[in-house]
Amino acid sequence: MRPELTEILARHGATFHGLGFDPRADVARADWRACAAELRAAGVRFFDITAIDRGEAVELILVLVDPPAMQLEIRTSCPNEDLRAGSLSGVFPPAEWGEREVFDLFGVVFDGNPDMTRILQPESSTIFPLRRSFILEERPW
Amino acid sequence: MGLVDNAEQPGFVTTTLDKLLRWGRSRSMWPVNAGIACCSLEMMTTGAARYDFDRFGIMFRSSPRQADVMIVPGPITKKMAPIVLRVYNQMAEPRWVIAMGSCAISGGTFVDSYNVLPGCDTILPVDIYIPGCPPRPEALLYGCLQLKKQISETSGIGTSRRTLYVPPVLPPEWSEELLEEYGAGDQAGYIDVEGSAPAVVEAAFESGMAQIEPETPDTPDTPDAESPGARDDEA
Amino acid sequence: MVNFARDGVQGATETMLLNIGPQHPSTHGVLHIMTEVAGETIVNAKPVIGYLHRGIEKLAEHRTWQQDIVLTDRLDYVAQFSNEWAYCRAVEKLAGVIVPERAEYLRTLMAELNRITSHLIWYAGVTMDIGTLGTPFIYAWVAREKIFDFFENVTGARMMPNWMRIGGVRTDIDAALLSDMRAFLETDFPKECDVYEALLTGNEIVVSRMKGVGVFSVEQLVEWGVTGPALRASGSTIDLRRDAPYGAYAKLDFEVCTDEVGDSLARARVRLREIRESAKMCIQIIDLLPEGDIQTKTPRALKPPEGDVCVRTESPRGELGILVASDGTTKPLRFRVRSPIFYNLSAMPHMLPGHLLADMLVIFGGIDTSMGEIDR
Repeated sequence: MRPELTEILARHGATFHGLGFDPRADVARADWRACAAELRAAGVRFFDITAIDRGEAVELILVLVDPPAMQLEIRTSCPNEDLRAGSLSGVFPPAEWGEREVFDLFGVVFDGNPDMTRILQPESSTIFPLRRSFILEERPW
Repeated sequence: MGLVDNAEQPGFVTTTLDKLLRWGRSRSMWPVNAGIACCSLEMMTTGAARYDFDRFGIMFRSSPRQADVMIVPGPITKKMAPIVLRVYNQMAEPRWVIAMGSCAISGGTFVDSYNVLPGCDTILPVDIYIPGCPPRPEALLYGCLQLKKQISETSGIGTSRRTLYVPPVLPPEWSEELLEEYGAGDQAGYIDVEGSAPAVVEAAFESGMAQIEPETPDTPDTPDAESPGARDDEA
Repeated sequence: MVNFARDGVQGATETMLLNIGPQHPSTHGVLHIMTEVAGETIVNAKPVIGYLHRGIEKLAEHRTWQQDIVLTDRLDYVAQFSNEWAYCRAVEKLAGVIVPERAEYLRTLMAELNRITSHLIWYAGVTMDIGTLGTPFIYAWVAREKIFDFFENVTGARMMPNWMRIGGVRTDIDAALLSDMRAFLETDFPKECDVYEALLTGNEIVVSRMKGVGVFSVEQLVEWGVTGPALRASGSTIDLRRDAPYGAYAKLDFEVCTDEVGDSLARARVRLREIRESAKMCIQIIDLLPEGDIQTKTPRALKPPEGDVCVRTESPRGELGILVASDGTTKPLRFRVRSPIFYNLSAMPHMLPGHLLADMLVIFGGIDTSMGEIDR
């Protein structure tokens, strides 16, 4: 990984981990937006924003690509009682839709997203299906 | 129309007319261009060169007003259901529905999904079910030919009218406006547009867009062989 | 509001909301674009998606790792082999499974054939939208049907092959079928490609409708998150098959198709050239195919160790990313599909304003959507 990126991540208190896969770093939720903005300024490209429900918290994953092909993952965690995070739509324009999807499926609200509405499910839906607490009902085959 | 008045006493002229209508309708089934998911690719393939179904008179029409068959290729999700129903309701009778693929029959691979209806027959009256995932073009052709056989045996005089089909059970997730439009499910079946008009049609009359036709002698009810919903005479 | 004055008469018009879709005569699936038009010029465009949201990501958590391959077929239902391959690569990386060399070559072969069929669907769709009434559409099906015959011979199904497995592929391709494929790709297929090019870039009406329409620079597209042939048509050389090779791509000799102009005609030309390159790649693969196993044995109740991994592949539409997370059981904890067209489509509100309504479908055709992957 480029030394500039390591330096940016270290400045935001990132802890690195990985199982021998592509580098991944954890940052605190408060540093989420600032870290992404600095990485953008260093030239990385947006790839994906998604989430995994880990039980007590929802882990947000931002996958970035350092051209030409190096993949970098930045993660943060939102506790169940406070599912909010800063929006990256000002930093990476495609993140607007990605965050809408995370909101639609997990219920995480992104402060600063210009259009925080459901994108995949109908507007009248009240469920957050990808949470572990949502049990898929059995239907007869 | 005198001929239609006398349809309940079949004579030589009306049965010949009946046969002519059945012959014509079965050889010109025009589906509406409503592709939803993967099965629509096989539907397109059936229309392409190798399995050409234009030779059977099946020609895709973009507007549902010009179509009389609706092939449902793919799973119907909760967001798509009102739209499919609206497209179906824009088709003039006689109209038929072919459920193509396992998703349209029962939900298919996605039957336990939170967003997929278990089959398009929860909201539409289906005539032909074609299993497969996706059904081969030959299977779709066979299904269309079965429909052709069904049409040439059951349709006839007195079935051309505009009706609004209201499914017996409306999913509760549908928005309030749609429930108003379709009468909240307590008028399930076919609603004759000139009869008890739902709010949408009433508004059309009030604004002057639609006019009530001058009085004509009542046309007798002809039994609809292919419609599952009973016509509500008291409404 | 648009103000116009003519013959001394002052007037103002309001913009009109025009709903395009979700049921519409073009072949793009259930896409709904709410466009705000002032006269013929698009002021604003907002795609509304979700009409095909089947909940595949949630369903995948209720199926075993092997059963999910069936679900991945139905994501981007035009390029099934790329989806299966991306998913299998991700699970193999997580579980530490090494795929035999012959299987890698076979996977690359089928994926490149699938790229041809996918681009032919794009070709048929975009020319039909422009108004060619179906001539290129019918011609595209000639090669597509021939390749579908190959798919059916190898996997048993025309469209939903369910062929790749975690650790390899399900069935082998015998020498007779390989020589049939090679003969088709070497002799008949280039002639078909000439026909496709003649019907698109040799047709002056189509060219005049596509040339100069929707010119975007590389910086704009990268900022909006666009990947794939649409990005390469503006001059970028990003192609995961070259930059981060997987499968047999490292051993193949192919060129990354780019174009400098960045308009809709460039996007069309890039895809037509990619079809030819894919055919050449398939011939190379057939010549270089080694002998060996086609599948590494994996346990029936596959339980990858805990963790998660994100793997990127180059699907015909862009960079497809699959993130799988495991908690050590037979069912995934999370299955995330980073759809390239989801993000390509999110660039529409930036791409369309200022263009005429009639050019909307042309620009949209350059993005080449497939709703199954956008909505999952």
